[in-house]
Amino acid sequence: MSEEFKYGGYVGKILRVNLTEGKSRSEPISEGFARNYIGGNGFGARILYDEVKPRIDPFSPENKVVFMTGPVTGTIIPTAARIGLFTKSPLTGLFFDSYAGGHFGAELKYAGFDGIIVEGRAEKPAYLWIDDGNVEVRDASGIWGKTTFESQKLVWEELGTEEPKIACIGPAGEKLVRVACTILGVRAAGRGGHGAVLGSKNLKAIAVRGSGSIRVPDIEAVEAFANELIESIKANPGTGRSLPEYGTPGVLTANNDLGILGTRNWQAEVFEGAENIGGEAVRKKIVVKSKACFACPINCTKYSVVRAGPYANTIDEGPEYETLFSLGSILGNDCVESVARADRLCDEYGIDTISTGLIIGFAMECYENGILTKKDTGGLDLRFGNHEAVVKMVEAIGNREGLGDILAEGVKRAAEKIGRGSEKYAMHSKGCEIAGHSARGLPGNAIGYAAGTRGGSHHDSRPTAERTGKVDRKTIEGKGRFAKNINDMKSIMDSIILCQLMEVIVGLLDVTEMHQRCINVITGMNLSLADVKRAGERIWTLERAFNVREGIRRKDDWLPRRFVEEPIPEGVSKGMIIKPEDLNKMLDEYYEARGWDQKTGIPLKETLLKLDLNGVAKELYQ
Amino acid sequence: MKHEGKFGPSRLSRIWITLIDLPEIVVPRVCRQCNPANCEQNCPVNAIVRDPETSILMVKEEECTGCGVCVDVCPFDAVRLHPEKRVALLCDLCEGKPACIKYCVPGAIRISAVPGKGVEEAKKLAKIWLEGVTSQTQGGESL
Repeated sequence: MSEEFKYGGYVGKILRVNLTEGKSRSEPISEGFARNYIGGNGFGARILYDEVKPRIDPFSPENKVVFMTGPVTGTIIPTAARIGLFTKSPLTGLFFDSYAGGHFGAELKYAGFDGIIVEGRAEKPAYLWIDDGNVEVRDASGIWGKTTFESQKLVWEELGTEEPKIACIGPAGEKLVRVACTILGVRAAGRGGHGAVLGSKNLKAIAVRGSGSIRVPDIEAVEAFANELIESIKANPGTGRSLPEYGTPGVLTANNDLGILGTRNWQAEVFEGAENIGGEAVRKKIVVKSKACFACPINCTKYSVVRAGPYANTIDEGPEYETLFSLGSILGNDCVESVARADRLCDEYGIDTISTGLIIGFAMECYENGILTKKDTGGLDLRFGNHEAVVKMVEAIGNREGLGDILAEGVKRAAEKIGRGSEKYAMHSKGCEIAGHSARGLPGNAIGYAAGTRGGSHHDSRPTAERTGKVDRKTIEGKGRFAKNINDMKSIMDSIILCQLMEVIVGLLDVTEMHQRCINVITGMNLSLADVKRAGERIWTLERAFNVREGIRRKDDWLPRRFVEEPIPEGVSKGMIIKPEDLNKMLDEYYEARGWDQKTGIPLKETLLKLDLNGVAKELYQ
Repeated sequence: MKHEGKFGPSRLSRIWITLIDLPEIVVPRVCRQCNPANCEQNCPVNAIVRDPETSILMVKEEECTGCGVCVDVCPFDAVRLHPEKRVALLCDLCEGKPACIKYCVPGAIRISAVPGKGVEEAKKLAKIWLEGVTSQTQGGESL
């Protein structure tokens, strides 16, 4: 790079692509922007807040999709692979961030950009080709309609090289399936439906190749810090043993033993077939070898092949814990081979496995209660446990065929359309389907589902501390403050960007000195711990302000009916429930800790001013 | 990183990976220190030589013309050219302390002496390895 950005790690440039005009330009970032918002999540939140006007339709050309790396992306810091995608979600109508590993993020930085802002709408299918500094909007009519893997191969063929790293959408994104994701290589930025937003913009793919490099202030200091992290990773039983051996599926039987494994659309939290889809079973039955994202010593990813039976010859990267939950236990399905098959299909169509599973679970519960019949399902026996039906429904949703067309709208809209009391089976918060960590059995995690930016995301609070016993999961005391600190921690992790699997290494409960050191060693910004904590608060509060502008208030911060009305029926966690009065008590404490108004849930003016969000304060309190 | 003082593995590193097919198969690109080695024998200006003490292959950067013959003849696709200096980038085993080994947490990189196995053996190994990679990608069903 000719003119170097003051701080290390960053390229210092963001690519803005206007698809309506077919033009792009490189824009510098400012030093203040980097100090206040760090990268990834922070950059994405600020850009969307400033540039996406309230109340626009997520599928209109006015919506934007931001791809953003963090200052560590592309360096040697463990898990420095990640990139975030930010948009106004067609599922929730709110701010939504989603992250992926793989190799795309690092390559984008080597190509000379920290991120990409995609705006407008191309007249016809297009893809973006970023070759170092050169940017080209190219015709994608030849790959439109193709699955994600096929699309990537066709782009390689057309460009005459397999070197570019590619992010793309599948047929589901093109058909505006509201749970459509973006696939980057084989990794998915899964949640929130940004794949459909890219589809609405007629943007099929982004291919990127870079030969540049990333500069840091003191490479020996970075190396020493990386070594320290690697030693901690090796010494930790989770990151050093369980994740390399079993990957994320190792969590499944542990959650089942604690009685907090979502089963049959969250009717139960113990699954009798858990052993068949747990870490040990996956490893024994289908895993061929471990893989890693860029710069990651944890190598949690598993390359799997189904060798025999009806799903023989399915090759799959994964399935991950969340997918074994959403396409396994949540559907009463203990056939691991069918989960691998359905996972692969989700990747190829480009749909989020979590939301897709919860949607099928909703349909299954409707079917078992007579709300949906064989007439609706096209003759399919949509009972819990029918693995053939699971695979068929994934195809139906990915293609928007038959019942799949209604389900492709997500459980909230599908329930509204189907009616007949089906809404009581719609497991979502703010329109986003509930992920694979218990609300009833982990009250601190429940606050994330209720009051988080994204709704049903397990990253808006985190389950780990309560699940592993670091924090007592049987009490609601102090959980409002707990969730607040985790929000801030998550915002910083996703801004640096470190993988959430690093939380046990750099800080499980709050922003720590490790986050601070990581930022400073890469960037040389010399932020204090208080600065970093404030940045975390600033980012989370800015996301809230985005949602407040869209009409979100305290009344919207709530859980699906089942979690506040039906106790866990059996197992170790039997009887656990988040009673409405308990949820309200936790929310009171949460808003107080956040400095948000108790009645409305709007960030107080003084909170906004304290976080240097003066413009936001002016807008919300005009 | 060790040699260049910045992070740029896509062009600058002397050991790297290639991703083949989807779902991806990871193929490591690493110099095997063949002896005798194709790169050494085919260099038109004799810029690839052996350290007299350790027998490790080294590039005399001031003599290398960047012609790329070594890149073409390496049976393991483990040589490439420096994007700016236009000289051959060859693994020099970091003066006996390879940084890659330290950073490979699963322990997949080792130094092991295979006496008497030269270019022909290397070619055979490369062929088996390529076949292995392609056979893994076959039989995968697509939509």
